[in-house]
Amino acid sequence: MTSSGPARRKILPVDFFSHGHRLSTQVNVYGWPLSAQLNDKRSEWFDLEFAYISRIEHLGEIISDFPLSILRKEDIAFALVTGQIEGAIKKPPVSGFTRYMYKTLIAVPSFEIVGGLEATGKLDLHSLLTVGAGQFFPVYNPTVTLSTDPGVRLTGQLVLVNMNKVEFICAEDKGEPILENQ
Amino acid sequence: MARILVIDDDIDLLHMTRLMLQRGGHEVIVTADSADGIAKAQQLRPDMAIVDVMMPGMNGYQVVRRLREDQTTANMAILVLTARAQPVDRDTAMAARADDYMAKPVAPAELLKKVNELLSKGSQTALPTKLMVTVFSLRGGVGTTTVATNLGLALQQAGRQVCVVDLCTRSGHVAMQLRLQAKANWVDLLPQMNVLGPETIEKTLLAHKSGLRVLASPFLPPVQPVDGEALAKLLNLLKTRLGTVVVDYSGALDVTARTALGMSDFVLALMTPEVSSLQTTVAMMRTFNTMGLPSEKLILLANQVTPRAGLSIAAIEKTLSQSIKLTIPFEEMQAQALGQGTPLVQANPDAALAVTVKQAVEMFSQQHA
Repeated sequence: MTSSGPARRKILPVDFFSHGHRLSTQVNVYGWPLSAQLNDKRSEWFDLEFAYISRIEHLGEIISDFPLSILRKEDIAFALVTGQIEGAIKKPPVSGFTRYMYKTLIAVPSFEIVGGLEATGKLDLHSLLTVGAGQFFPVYNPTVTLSTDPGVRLTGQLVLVNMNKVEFICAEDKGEPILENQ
Repeated sequence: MARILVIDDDIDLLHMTRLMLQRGGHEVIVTADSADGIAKAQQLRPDMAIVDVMMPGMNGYQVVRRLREDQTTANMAILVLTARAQPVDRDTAMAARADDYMAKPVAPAELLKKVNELLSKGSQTALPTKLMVTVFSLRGGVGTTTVATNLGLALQQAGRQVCVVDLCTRSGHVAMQLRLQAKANWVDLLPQMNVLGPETIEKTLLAHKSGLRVLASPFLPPVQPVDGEALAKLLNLLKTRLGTVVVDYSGALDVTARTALGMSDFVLALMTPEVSSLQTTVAMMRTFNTMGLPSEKLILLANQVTPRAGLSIAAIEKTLSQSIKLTIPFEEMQAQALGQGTPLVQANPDAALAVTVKQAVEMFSQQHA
């Protein structure tokens, strides 16, 4: 994929997943992390440059590609970041409270996501899905399994999950404390 | 020093890759366009092509397939380099018959190491153009299906077009291991060998997502005796059309077994390190001798080897007066892979079974050279 264009660009490779498709693309996250772009309530659409499209049944095979695409945020089940997560989310400010990582399983249409949910103190699943920090919430070090073919797995550093697509969440009741440098 | 063609529409990355490879002492040709890349490959005959996947118009998998279809570029080493970094993406690259795959971003030292490895291995030219291997045992339960399936995938990953033929007449499991639903089977085809055309027969083969083809076994044992001539015709057709056939067979040395063994370039004979299996292997070796099976075709493989239980390899070799060229230790992950329907060569390329089948592929190349 090309990286030429305006001078101020910080490119993040991202895979967007809907119920039926995978769209591989690059997002410019210079000064504006991916999570902030997805959670921006001013627009219900997300613009893409150079999207490469695969069907869920054959996630590796590219069926077509286009230089211009627009995604309805509501229909994005999750966005998977495989490289470094810098540029994907804004690092939370350091507080005096201990943060914990809870192992969770989240079901969205066609996929199961197992990974770490971060919370300050005790994990409150209701608050996550109702109040939360935005429509798309982060799950760390995810393994994503295709429900109809469990042999097909995807991994990454981070996945941003659309809370409106969550069918259910299961979580451990005890989390691992996160050290301040992490 | 090799001539390397790099095809990537990311101009900055193209220049960086060129620099990395030039510093490694290679001559580098670059292009940002897929069609131009194919034309350059045909014209300049590089030793290797490094191909990006996400390119507009013609993606990298399509480029790899086109290079493999063209006689002038079919045997070139091909490395896929892509930001699509999932196991399914690797599978797709290997199904397109790339030699290897790397995920971006890639460190210069890593890229150079991989490039030099591929160049020294060569592409599929080391293997014979047409190849048939029978994975054989007189007894069931020693792992012939698992080895045959993984061997088929390893050869597919080495850039071959492969068909695994499940010649077991009693409950064959190749299709099951690959999570494929068997429709036609080889017994159905035999009576029609004089009537069906090669294209029709090829269409009956099952297709695994890796590109591997499978000819399944019958669900019930055949009632009629197997027509050896028709079977030989079928196997020869598959070898001619696809290039590589791996036969899975465990059972008596009947006409089915004798046909496959006689036609094979190599026989991978499996045993387990137990007295009963050793006894059967002794009988098998004597029968092979009587049949006139050339000893250079035979590769003995000891499966499910555990360090403290069973016979030692040395004891087995002494009894057989034959060396055990390949061993596979007992691995729990074999059962896990079976349960998930993803053979170890794909699910865990570093697993002992995966490493051993790749050693077998190396042996086929060395003996052919």
